[in-house]
Amino acid sequence: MSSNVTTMINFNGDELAVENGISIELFLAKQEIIDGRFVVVLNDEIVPKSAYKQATVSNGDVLEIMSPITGG
Amino acid sequence: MQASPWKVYDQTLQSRLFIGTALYSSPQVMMDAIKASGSQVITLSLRRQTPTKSNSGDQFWQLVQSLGCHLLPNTAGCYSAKEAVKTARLARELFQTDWVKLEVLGDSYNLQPDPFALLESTKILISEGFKVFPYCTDDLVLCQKLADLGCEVLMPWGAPIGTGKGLVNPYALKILRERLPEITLLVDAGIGKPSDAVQAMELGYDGILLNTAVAEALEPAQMATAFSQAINAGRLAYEAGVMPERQHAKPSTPTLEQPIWQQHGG
Repeated sequence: MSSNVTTMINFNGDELAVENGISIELFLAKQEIIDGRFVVVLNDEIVPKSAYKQATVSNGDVLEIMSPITGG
Repeated sequence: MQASPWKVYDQTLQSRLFIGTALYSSPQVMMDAIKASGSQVITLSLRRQTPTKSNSGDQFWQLVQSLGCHLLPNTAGCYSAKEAVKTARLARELFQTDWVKLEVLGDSYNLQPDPFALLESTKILISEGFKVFPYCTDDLVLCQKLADLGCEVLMPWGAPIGTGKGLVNPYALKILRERLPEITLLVDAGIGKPSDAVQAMELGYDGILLNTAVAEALEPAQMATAFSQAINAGRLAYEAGVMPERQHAKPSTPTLEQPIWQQHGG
């Protein structure tokens, strides 16, 4: 449940204002990250897909989306 | 004629070429080259990147999936055991594979692996169930220690990444082959020409991992075919048994019953 109070997080290296306590699921939907191959990392910990509803972000959190890229 | 199939951890493969997905001029060029190579294993990586509808961030993944190859994610760009272990864990989650090409660099100038951090991270990852493919130097003691930790596959460099210098130290690579007969060995990095790959395969190496030599060719798909054929030829030659080298000439045409006037010297 989000509180509608804006807070700052670091998202993929950039500061971003989000609703405090927003769930990962809602955050991803708002960012239009709905499907595709990616891994969510919150404060250095992998967030499994099954936890997207429960896991929330709050002030100062570091949220990262890791995606496949080319490599040798 | 195809060389014999081989086993890499729990997988039996026909192709002995692992190919990278980087540096191609377009996704289509990459796809054509990979298909032409006949590779069954492709390397790829992961980065902080947001896949949205607007940036078609998932296009690469869709292409990769359509190839149906085994995925070998790398830990490229890591300079410590901690970074490499973290990246490997993310890769396992992202690509749903316990295979990892473990790269831990010790020098940014020649991208030389850090043997100490490599051992440290290998130990951790193997304890977590990873199948580690370490990108390493050709140092015998390092390779022995990696094997002792449980690596069934080792990937010593031929030369620094992207140099295309071929096998800089064939002596060291030959010694590795002789001393580690039970280990699956691939030359990874430094291969420039198909003849470099043949040389490694004739030494008894099990396979080759390359990227730049194909991606930076004028015709990548054609070069991928050339490498595929060269690697197969090298392996066939190794399995057929290369003749021993001699110091002096030995006639191939029978000399028995030659006319007297054709007999020279003594």
